[in-house]
Amino acid sequence: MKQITGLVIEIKKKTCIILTPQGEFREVARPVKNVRIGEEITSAPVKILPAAWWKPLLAAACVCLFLSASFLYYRWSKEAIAYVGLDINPSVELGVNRRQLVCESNGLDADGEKLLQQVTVRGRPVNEAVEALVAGAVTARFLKPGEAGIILTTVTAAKEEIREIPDKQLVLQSVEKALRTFGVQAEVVAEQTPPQVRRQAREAGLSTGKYLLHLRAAQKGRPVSIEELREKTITELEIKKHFKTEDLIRPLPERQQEKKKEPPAGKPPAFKSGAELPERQGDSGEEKEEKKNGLFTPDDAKQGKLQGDDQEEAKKIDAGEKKKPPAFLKGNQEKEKGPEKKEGGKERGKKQASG
Amino acid sequence: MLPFTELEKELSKARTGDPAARERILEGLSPFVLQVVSRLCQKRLEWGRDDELSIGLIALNEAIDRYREERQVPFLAYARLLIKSRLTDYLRRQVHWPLSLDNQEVAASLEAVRAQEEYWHHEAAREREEEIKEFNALLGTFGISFTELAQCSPKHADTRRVLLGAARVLAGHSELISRLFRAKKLPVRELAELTGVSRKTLERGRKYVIAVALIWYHCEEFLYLCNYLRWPEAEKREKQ
Repeated sequence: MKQITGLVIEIKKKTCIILTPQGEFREVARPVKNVRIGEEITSAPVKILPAAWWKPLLAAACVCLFLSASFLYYRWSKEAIAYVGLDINPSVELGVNRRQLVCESNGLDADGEKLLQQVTVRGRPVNEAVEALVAGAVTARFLKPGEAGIILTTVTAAKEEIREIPDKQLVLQSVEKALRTFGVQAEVVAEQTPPQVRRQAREAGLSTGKYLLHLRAAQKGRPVSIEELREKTITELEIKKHFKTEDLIRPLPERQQEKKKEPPAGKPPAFKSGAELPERQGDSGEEKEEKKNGLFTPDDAKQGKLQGDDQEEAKKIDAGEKKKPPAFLKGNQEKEKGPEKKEGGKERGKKQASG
Repeated sequence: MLPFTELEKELSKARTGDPAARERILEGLSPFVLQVVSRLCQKRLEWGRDDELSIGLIALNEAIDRYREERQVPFLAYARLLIKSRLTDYLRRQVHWPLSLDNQEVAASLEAVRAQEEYWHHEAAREREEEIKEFNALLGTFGISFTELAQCSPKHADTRRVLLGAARVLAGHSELISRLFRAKKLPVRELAELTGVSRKTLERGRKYVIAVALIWYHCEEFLYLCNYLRWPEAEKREKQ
């Protein structure tokens, strides 16, 4: 940099201030040898930071901070906290954010994608979206009125820590409402699953619902392989392998004792804590009625406790410890016997009703 | 007080043997001599009555002959030095006058006066340093630091020229100057009217204008600084 000449008027640590003949007061680099005030020196000017140079930087930093905070908040609120899976024939999965709106949608097979192209779900409340999807499925002839079919729905938290997820009953009701509108007779099964199950389902290339079915079927000694589930619809498999999804998918109860709780009055709230589920015990009369309509039975009470069970199973699979069918059989044989007696009665009853 | 360029012209004339020019210098600088001598003796003096003043004038005359022109030592500074040294010489011979430390130094170096040019360098350097420190102190009373001056010094030559001119005007205007000293603030509005410089420019270069005006106003005290600066008028004249 060009050097300038002037009289030294102040000496600082690394610089001097000089006065040039042109009348400029400048700060220059301090010469190596000893300088005295009043001496004329020639040196290179040093860049002076304006007073309070940090202020513009601070302002800019605040703006950035604000922008990033807003951005992060936006992302946080748009984040999917739960996934609602719908297996009709097409399999779709909806990501739901904290405001109960659909923020993601994935078609898990070709039909599913087609369906999603035809039905707008993004930004809509989850119950509306589910209704619309079912309606769309009917319109696209995936579901036909008068034809028996089975719709499997799942609700999964996105992460283990998340507590507030959509109530599966809500999903159930939305599906049924749509079905009723179109006069389609199909069974609806709604299940709540832990995140690991969904993760494994994705790895296996299945929808959460189908994978759950695979897990629970194996638990009960009626294995349905992943390949089968991939290729065929649940309806087809039901016929081919002679099972009722409802039965298979219902988890095995762990304890004899069930929690006794009154169901909340009125409609169940849209969002509920995953740990608490209303358990209806004295509803056997209603049960039978509901069974006729293909509603899922309120044995989901046990599910609340068995969330842990599923999670454990899922964890074990993750760890690669267990080989599925035989281990399950052995481990659970005792459990099967006891409650099965109770359930057996119900099973038979159901078979009669839907048969 | 004679403007510098005039002084230089007169000086060269006087040295080449022009007696009229010499007279003009001596007469023109007699207030200067009065000031220097009075300060040294620390008492009021009168021409014709007090010998000290005559001594001073004689010393000034000597300075005209002995001055070697160097940028570092303006003629007046040299003259001042010489006046001081001659005077202390004289005063020592008068028993009843106490010598201050400063003058002792000057007295001690009387011998060196004749011979070394280096002495002048040292002396000049010391005086310059003193001067700058005084200037710093004066600026301090106005709340101005050298660092601040370095920050607000105009970068563009044009702006600088304009502000230097405005400062000169301010220094010459007795009322505004006294206002400046009283309030310690620049009378921007009046100065803008007087000089035609925009208020914004004056505001921005506020501290600079004050500093430069002070140099010009106290030109005799701040000899070196004042001499060092190339004033716009002087530059104009040089070009002519």
